Amino acid sequence: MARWIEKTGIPTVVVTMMPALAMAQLAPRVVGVEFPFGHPFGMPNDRKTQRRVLETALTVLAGATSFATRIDLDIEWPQPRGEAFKAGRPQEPSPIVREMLSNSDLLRRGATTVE
Amino acid sequence: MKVDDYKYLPRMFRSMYENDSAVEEGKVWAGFDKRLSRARVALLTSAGLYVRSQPPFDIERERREPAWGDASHRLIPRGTEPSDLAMSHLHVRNDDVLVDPNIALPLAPLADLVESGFVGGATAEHVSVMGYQGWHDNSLDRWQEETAPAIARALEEQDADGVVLAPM
Repeated sequence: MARWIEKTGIPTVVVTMMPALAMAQLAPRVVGVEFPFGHPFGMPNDRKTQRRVLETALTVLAGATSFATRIDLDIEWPQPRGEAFKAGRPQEPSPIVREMLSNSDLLRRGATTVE
Repeated sequence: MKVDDYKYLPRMFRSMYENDSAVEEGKVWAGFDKRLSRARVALLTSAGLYVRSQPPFDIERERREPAWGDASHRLIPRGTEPSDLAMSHLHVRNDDVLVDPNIALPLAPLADLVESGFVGGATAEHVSVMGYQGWHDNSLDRWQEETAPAIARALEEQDADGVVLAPM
């Protein structure tokens, strides 16, 4: 998605829990956060962290001088790992995961997500 | 400190991502020429957020056809109140986002940064998609043909100088 937008002439930055994947997919600018899935800007109601992540993203957006710039943010998730892991999972397995669990061929093929 | 992509990824999914390669090759680069304090930026989330007056993303069809994902998009006005947002996404936990949508679509932090003068402004509308795009060979066709061009057009019309994308 970042590449499609960038191609139209609008610069992009991707804030992501999977920066190595974003780099493998050749996103132009990447900010990595080690947060549970579903929480790219931090914890609910933690405005300070949300602002810090966005400020970093905007700094990279405006200040990166070359393709494939990656900056990782050194912010530790405030919850214990087990709780954080739970925060990153859906309440119940998604339909495709449920199907995968009963058909291992699907798991090998890989899903398509927009990064 | 280097972020570990797999820290919060269940082990069964790891192999899907380890060998992931680019859909297309080559550099793409649009230079950011303005001063940030005079620039207008847009946000793009894949959280499946929508305004309550808009139709939800079609997760009912996804429940019936698990290999299908809704490729449409919604435009979210920048002044939308958190309580006016709803979410359709079966692949991430919804409750934290519904408590505070700013963790996915940081409307309030962006407004703070505009007020402080760090960034010039926000586009009138931001963009929301639902990140799961299905599990078949042509999953990205509608994206490439319809959704991505429509989003690019909307961003151009709103004079976006840059976009912050946040996949879930």
